[in-house]
Amino acid sequence: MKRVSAQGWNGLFAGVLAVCVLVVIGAGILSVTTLIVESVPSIRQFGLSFLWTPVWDPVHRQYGALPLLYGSFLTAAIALLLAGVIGVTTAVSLTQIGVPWIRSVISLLLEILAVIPSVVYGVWALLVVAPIFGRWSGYAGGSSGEFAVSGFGVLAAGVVLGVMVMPTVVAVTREAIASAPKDIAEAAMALGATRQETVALAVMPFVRKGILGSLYLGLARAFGEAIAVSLVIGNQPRIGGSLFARADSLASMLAHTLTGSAPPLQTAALYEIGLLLFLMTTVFYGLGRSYIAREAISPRFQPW
Amino acid sequence: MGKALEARAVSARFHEQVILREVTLHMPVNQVTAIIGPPGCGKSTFIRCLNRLHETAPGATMSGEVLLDGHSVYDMDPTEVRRSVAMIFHRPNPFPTMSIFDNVAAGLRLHGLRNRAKLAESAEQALRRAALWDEVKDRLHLYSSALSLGQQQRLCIARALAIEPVVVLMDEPASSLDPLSTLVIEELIEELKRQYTIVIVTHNLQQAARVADKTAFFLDGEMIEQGTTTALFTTPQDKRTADYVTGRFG
Amino acid sequence: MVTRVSYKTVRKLKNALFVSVLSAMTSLAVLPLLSLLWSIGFHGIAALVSLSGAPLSRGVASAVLVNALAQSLVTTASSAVIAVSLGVAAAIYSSQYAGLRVGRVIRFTVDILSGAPSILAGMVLFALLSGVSSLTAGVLALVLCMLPVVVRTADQVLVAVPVAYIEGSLALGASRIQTIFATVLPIAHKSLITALLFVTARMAGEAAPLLIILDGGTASKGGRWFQPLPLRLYSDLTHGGSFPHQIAYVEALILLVTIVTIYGLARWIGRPDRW
Ligand SMILES: Nc1ncnc2c1ncn2[C@@H]1O[C@H](COP(=O)(O)OP(=O)(O)OP(=O)(O)O)[C@@H](O)[C@H]1O
Ligand SMILES: [Mg+2]
Repeated sequence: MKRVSAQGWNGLFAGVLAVCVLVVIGAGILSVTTLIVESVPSIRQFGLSFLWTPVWDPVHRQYGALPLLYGSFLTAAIALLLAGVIGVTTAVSLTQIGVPWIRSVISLLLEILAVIPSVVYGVWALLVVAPIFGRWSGYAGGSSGEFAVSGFGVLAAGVVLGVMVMPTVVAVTREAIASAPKDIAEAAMALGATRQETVALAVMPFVRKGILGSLYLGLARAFGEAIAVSLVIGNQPRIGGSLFARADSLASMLAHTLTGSAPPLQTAALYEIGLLLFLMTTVFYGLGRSYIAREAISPRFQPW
Repeated sequence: MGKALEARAVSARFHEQVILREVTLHMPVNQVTAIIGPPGCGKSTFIRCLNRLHETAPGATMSGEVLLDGHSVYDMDPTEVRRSVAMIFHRPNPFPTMSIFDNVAAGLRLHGLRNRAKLAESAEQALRRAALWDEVKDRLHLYSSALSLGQQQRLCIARALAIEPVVVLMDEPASSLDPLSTLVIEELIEELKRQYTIVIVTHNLQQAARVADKTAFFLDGEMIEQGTTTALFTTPQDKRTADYVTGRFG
Repeated sequence: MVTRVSYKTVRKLKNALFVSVLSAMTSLAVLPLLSLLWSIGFHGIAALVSLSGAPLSRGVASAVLVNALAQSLVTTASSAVIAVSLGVAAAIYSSQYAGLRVGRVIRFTVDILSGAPSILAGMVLFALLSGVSSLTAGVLALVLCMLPVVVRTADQVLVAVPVAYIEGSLALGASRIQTIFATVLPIAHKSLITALLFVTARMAGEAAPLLIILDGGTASKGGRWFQPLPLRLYSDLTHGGSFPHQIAYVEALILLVTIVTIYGLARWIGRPDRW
């Protein structure tokens, strides 16, 4: 009698937990379905050409994703270039050179960098970074028109994104370096290799995958960042062809346009943009994760 | 020819924890000095102080003097010290991303040798000295992981010998090998001591008795007793040494 | 011999160059953070001082700020409670009950979802509640954002509990539930709380998922009543206001201090000591 009831409790408990799992997964499925359903009118109207139509023009009810893809890819490329070069070298410094206490201070600073909300980055981007770029391009000859005044544009957005993505690159690369085999590095040192030679010979060959993974994760994060980008990219969905030109990205467009008062077709087009964003971040995120063991990163600190 | 190595009052710590206390030990030219002692007593730490590898670990510090042929290694460039004082680790650690040949050539290349013919010549010589040449001469361009563990360890020895060191430190070089490979390594040590000064850490007392001319017993970071191997094993002066070598503890 | 000496020098120079490039890059990595902290700290405090000098604006501003902060705390706290209870329950299932294959499916789904941009959560809720602006929709959007991350981190913490303890408990005749509450959770609770606080710290500053729901709603209602701090900050930055920039700096400072405090708390709880 007693035993049966104990089992009953166990079963009930497991059942409740299973329901929670279903709720979580169900919420995910519902979300994706919603994005699809809401974008149906736009998909019907524009079909696949949505992807390569180079205009986004609410006045003429003409919506194409190309200018936004352009803005997303260009800003993400700038961000990854910065975060990749600076982030990877920083990760190497934090594991290979320097005084321990300086290392831990810098690690702490970078962890803080990762928890700062994007809207706070937005304040910094808008009030500190953009003016610097504005002044700088003014000195540089001022030929880039509006950029010279405000500093808004692809470059400013890319740089801010780079700063936001860097903690991810550093954290993942650092874990990769930490899990590279120590005895191989010691073998190199025992042969009389300098630090630099040890890193090149016996560390880097083991962290290539981790670096690649961190860059993909950074790419996913850069694509998804809406708030900070929308404040400095200039919010003009066009293909300017210059780093100093204003533009717009997928996520930024969503942030500043979707306000509920938009006409139905535009709303649908925006949802299609959202769907596109989801697909792209999922692909890049999935690629990134495929290079990085789940256990390699402590659950405490996952900046993405 | 090898060169003599001498440790004077070597102390080492990791952060606050003292691992070695004032160890003084003379390691004579062209002899095999064995270091024995229970696990965790600081044997590895000691020989890592000898080629300045200890200081590369996080939190590691040392004091005291290590003299190579009378010159303090802590006054030399660490990369030069490690070049003269080679080290073999307890687990074979060939560079897994390199071929067998490139492994042996790695040290030579590091120190600036580029000439292909000379590289090939030195590599062959080193492989011969490590008693590996005949087994690998037809497959020098395979990855080092294609070799058995015992062969990998001899590859590591060849890699270390290629840059012409004067002292070879060995940290339990046979501990992860099968009995046959162990035998091969022991014969090799016997052979190598003609040209090099050898310091070997071992857990295996029979091994120490077989290969070493001189033996030092470590306990809890201190050097308890040293002497010729025969003396240490047959007439130990210290009771702790006697207990250890007769297998009463450790 | 001469060539060898010079090659030694080359190597040393190379290594010195390596070290200096690394140090330079590391400084470059820290520079933006220092600039950010400095500008927001400096201007934020300056703005606070100057605003507190003007009694009228101080009243208005502080009322608005207190309101926004209170709303932020309410939204974050309630979404955290919901997401944590649901998410940890799901994680207990995936780590303790699910078989290998089911566990893998759950982890995969949750992994994919946790990589999705947070702004999408707002869009989904906006569509589902057909443009209705409300606190509920905002909270639900945050929950939607948080859930996958909570499940993923909690699962990872729980999976890390050594199987030996669990088997030990079961071998003593404890039931599954008893094992979970008396063995698994007590072992994992510290890392779990730390990890969850990190997630919460990040959610507390999220503006994107709230943006569409609440901004859209306020636009149609013409009011600005419901605006948690991050959102209020964003709209101050985009629409401008009666205190351009100054108020934004103050809000950013408050947000930053709040979040870094939660973060510090998380680190303090998760500080390494004996297990
Ligand atoms: N990198 C390190 N950081 C901190 N402590 C260490 C480190 N390496 C070793 N130790 C500690 O130093 C002490 C001595 O270690 P060492 O490796 O020298 O011992 P050993 O005599 O070689 O032992 P074994 O026979 O097991 O190899 C041990 O207590 C060990 O825990
Ligand atoms: Mg050892």
